[in-house]
Amino acid sequence: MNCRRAEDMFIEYLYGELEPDRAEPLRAHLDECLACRTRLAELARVRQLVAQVPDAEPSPMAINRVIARAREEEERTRSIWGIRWVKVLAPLCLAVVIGGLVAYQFRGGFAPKPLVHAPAKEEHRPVAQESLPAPGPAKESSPAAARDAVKLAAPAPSKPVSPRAALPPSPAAEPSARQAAPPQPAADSAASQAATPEAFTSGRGEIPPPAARLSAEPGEAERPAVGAARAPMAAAAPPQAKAAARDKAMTPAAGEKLEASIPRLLTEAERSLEAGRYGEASQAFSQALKLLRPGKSDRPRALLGLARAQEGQKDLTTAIQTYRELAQESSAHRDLAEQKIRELSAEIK
Amino acid sequence: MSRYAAGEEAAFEILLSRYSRPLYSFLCRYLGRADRADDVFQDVFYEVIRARKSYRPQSRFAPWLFRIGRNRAVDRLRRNGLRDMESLDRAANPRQEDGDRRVDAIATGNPDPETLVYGRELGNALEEALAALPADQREVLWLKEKSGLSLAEIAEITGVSENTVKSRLRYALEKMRAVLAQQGFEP
Repeated sequence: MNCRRAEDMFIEYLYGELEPDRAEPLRAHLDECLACRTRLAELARVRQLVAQVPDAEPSPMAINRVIARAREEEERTRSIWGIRWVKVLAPLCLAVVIGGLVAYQFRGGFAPKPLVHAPAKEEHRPVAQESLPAPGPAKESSPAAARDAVKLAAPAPSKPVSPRAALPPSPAAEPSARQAAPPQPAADSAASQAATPEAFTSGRGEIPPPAARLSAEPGEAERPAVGAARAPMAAAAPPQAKAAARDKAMTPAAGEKLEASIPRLLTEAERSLEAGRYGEASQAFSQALKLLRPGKSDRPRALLGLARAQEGQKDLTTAIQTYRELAQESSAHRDLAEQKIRELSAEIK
Repeated sequence: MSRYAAGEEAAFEILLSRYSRPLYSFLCRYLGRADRADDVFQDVFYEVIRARKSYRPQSRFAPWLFRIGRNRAVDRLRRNGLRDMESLDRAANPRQEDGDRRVDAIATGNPDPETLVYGRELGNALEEALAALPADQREVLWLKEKSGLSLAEIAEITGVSENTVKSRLRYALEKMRAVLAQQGFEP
């Protein structure tokens, strides 16, 4: 092999792409030719140096946008096969049930009702009014309760009917009425309180321990911040009412509504951050984090924004904690977060 | 990508984590400006997301990704009327190296310990040597050194023969050696 043919193989050899049967003659030539050996060594050294030139990194915003887009796509795919059909089917089912009830009534299902009520009301109304203090609200409360009352009265239309039995809205119906009623804002005061900005961020943008944030339910943050004022009422409320209120707050519709508000919230927070309004940004990111459970698409974006806002507020210790959380939660941000942790730790020292 | 295409959502972040730096770095070198590189970088990954369902693992992911990246970068330069090799070459003259300096600022804005070791002077000399390369040689050198693509894959991405890739690489390394030697860094 001559030097020219050897040089033609240098690049493949340097990059480990030369087949063994071609590499062997080249090695033999290099053993004999000092000039080629020197030249190859120089090229290898240049390679090493080029490899040391650091890579540029995309901006965190670009990374966040890409991740957010991926999550949006996932959500969209899921909604095509899941939530979207539920949205279509749920009203349909409801319409069928209501239609069935109406049809049942028209076919005479509730026919005995006027037969019982008319004489009973006329004869015994004053007594009933005296003994039953507040029949009004319960009347609308539960069709089931009303039907039960009618059934009780139905077997004896000709007999005088006891006012208590004839009048459906008895106090016994109240618990069901209470459960069916809209949840009192005070019933979940602790959650509402936690949702206020003051509850999870101080003036310096402090955040609670990650565990507290992670445990927050999405429905909690949307409710108005009246919890503090109504806290005593909430303490006195029966546990069933609390549970009903909580269940109501966590309906899928409410959750979706909240999730839909997250991108706007994050965009506003990022605007504040870019404008140097770190306190505002910190609060908004913290709010967003309250709505984002671990694993949610925008969580890394919110964590990164929060950390940067905390940096802007010179709250470096908290910023380090937030970057740690980010490193744990998002592999895409791990390098960046760890680097920031190193830098901030050095700055603190 | 196969895992992502099969519905494993976490696989996307792994892809992003693995390829964001080399791709972005290549785009920065190619486009000469960080803001444009950011835009194209996002476009490329949006394309990956879009192609998720239609992706067929006939070849490796990296060449596919870099091909999209290069095509988008070319489109971007055409759209802006900036397909001037000058923008990539101007750093050959140290007085006109703003573009690449901006790129370097991104690259070295947050230096890690490794970067600090590699040293400012040598770094400057390397940047100068890289800037002195013709754009097609620099492109091939950067793809080879930073993306882990094979010579054949680079040939496919850049639309030239494998032999052309090899000769561009060799010229690039030799020219860099010469420029570094002029700067006092004898390889």
